[in-house]
Amino acid sequence: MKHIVILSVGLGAVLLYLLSTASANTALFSQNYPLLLALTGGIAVALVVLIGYQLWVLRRKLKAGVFGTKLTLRLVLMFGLMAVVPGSVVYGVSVQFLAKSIESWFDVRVDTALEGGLSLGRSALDSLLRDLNKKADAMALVLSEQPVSTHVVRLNSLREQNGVQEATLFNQRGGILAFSSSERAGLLPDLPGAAVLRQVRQQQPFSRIESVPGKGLFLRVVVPVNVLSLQEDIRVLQLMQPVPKDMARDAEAVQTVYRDYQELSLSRLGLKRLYGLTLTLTLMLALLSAISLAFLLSERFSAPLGILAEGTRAVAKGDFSQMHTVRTRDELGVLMQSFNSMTRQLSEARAIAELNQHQVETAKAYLESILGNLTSGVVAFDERFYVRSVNPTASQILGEELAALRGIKLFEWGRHEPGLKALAQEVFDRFQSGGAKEWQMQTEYAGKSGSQTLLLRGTRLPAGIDNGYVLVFDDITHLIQAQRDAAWGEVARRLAHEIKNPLTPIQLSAERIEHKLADKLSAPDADMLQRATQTIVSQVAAMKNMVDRFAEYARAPAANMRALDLNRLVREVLTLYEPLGPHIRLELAAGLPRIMGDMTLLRQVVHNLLQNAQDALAEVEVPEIVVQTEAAPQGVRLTITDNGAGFPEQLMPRLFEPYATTKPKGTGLGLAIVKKIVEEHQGMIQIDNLMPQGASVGITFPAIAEAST
Amino acid sequence: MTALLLLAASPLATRAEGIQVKSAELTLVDEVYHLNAELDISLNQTLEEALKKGVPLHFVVEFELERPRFSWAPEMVRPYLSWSDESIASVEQHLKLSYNALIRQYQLGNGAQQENFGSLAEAMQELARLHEWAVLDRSLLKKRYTYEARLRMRLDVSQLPKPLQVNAIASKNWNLESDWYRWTLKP
Repeated sequence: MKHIVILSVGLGAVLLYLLSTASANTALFSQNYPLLLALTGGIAVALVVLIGYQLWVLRRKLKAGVFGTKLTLRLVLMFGLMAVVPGSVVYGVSVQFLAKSIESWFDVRVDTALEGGLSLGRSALDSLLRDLNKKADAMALVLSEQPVSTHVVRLNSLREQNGVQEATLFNQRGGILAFSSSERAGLLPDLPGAAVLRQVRQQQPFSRIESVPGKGLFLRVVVPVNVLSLQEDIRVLQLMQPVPKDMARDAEAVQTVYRDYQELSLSRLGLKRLYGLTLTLTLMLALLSAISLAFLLSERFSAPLGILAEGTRAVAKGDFSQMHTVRTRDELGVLMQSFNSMTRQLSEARAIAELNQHQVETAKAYLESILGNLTSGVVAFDERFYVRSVNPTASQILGEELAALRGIKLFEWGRHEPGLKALAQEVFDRFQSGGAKEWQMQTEYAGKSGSQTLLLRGTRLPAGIDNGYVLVFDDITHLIQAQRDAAWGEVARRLAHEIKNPLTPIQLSAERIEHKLADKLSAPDADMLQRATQTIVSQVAAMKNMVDRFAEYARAPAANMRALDLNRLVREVLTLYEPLGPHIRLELAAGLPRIMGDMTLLRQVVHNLLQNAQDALAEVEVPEIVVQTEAAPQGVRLTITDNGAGFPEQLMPRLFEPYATTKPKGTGLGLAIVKKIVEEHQGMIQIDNLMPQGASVGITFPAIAEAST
Repeated sequence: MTALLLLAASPLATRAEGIQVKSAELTLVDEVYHLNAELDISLNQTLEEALKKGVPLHFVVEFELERPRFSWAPEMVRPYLSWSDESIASVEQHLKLSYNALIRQYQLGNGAQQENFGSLAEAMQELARLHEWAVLDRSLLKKRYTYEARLRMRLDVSQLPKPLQVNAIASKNWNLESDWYRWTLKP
């Protein structure tokens, strides 16, 4: 596009130059003048087509909504106006001036003066001719009076007397009789034509001014020489006289100017057309070139705008890549550079923000993982007691999904989770009354899996950070349980010791009383004594037995841990129960990992549990016990299930405490011992009643990989 | 000027004017063909006025001799085959007719030669007669062929002063041109 415009403008300029040169009337282009006009016109048409095309392109862009097109259009209109208005003014003035100046060349006075000059020249020549005519007549008269034989001699003297350049005497047929000339070069005389001779023969003299190429103007006079004698034919005398050089030159000059003037006046219209046409073509080419260039320039001006708009859109979309700069030294270039630097800064700022956000997220994830792995429950509140964050352990301890309470005020917890109402109220009161101080309390909480003892600690965060509150709590039920177990053990050991000491003397004393007094008493008394001592002895034995069991519970044998196979242990224990019948079913999973444990203690665990199951099945028609081992997420799980009566509901919370028994013969220590052993093995025990009847006891031991740590 | 415009507007008035070739023939003199021709030239008012105001008129006489390759073809088809003709000779003669206002004579120039005439009619008569114009050598022609000769005369507009050339572009009055006069030649 650019090249086409430049090419046509350049071509137009060349043609205009040629046209103006041709107008100046040099011979070089005069022959191709029409062609030149046509070419220039063609270029003008081509420019019109070009502008039309540019307009069409602009219109299409305008419709497509290309950014910057409106500016381009406005610039084109402005440029066009700036070109058209002065151009038209200059054109109008020029045409007017041209017509006036061409008309001013033609003036009646000049016309008359030139006519006068010409006729002056003519009359001067005519007078010369008349003069020569007279001379010729005189010469002819002289010659006619002389005899013919002397004519040749007389002619020369006559010519010299009259000051004529050339004189020739012909006979009536045109043959030369005599010739005389003042010129050294004795050229042959210029013969008159036959028509002239004929005219002269009829006694009519001939005189004419002739223009001889290369020699200038000549006067030719031909007269008859009438010879007196009748025998002789008439003769013809021709005189040739050049017009004097000065006069000839002046006359010629006048004639030339006259001719040029006439020519000019004749071509007045043509001249006007010529100059007008040249001017019009010049104007058209100039204007069209200007408009065409205006398109190019406008596009160049508005191009940076389009790029800027594109850059803005890209930034809005989040693309911070640097845009292509246009190398201009004006403000637009500066603007573009500023835009680029702004984009760069934005991009850097965003990168920093992303980095910061990433760091914050990492820190948060780190904090959450710490909180998540904390064994204490943590709940954070803001200053208005809305829950801000809860760690998973908190939900585990309380047995409620605390994450659902996020964004709910502390004292409104009860509405969503009725189980938490009492606890929430208590905590809220402590926070209200505690002020900025740290507080700690222990409370009972009725959780889903029974009553729990919680240790709560509350803190108000320092005002500078968040103005919020943090509640940290631990489930210390097991701790208290352990303390209680230890206390029970101590009690049992002391009781056993204190009770066992007097038992032997009591037994011995009763036996001795019977031994000494049996013979001395009457038969009924002796009988009564024997029964009484029997009772004492048997009761003491029973008491001894009971004290031994206490001692056994209280004794804390050092566990002898080693790797063992749980399945093998179960099979060994079960061999003892085989005689009891086929109602014991084994479901042992193969390929279980080994566990760390004390063979003897574990044997007692299995033994106790089986004994319990056996006892529960006493009144069941189709008794069944299932002993099951399987791999569990944390290790290996042993489950013993029966379809017996199950545990009484009211006993469930205290099953593992000593003396919690329903059995008439039981000491109530079986499950307590089991639990103690399991805890020594870092295992977990869980007891469930099954529907419609039965119970299951599940024990999970850590597998060896974890146990070895 | 108005007269000029009027003339341009009425083409009927110019119909009788122009150049026609009335007759032309080639005669063999001393193994050289000479052309003799009679033309009919009449100048329209525009040209006559221009001549009388001193504008010289240049005439070009063009003579061409060709050998048609398809001489056997029917007349109707012949013009379409003219591209195939072999050009034997193509000669031009330039004649200049001018008026000398000082001595009131018309001058007819042919190269270096110049003739003076007292009246326009005499000059035109001389212009309309081509006399003994040696155009081609006998040896260029072969006996067995038939040749086609043609002749025309036209006013050379490009020799006019430029302002008048502009007029000539616009007006028909300045275009004086005869049709080709064709005849056959058997050597």
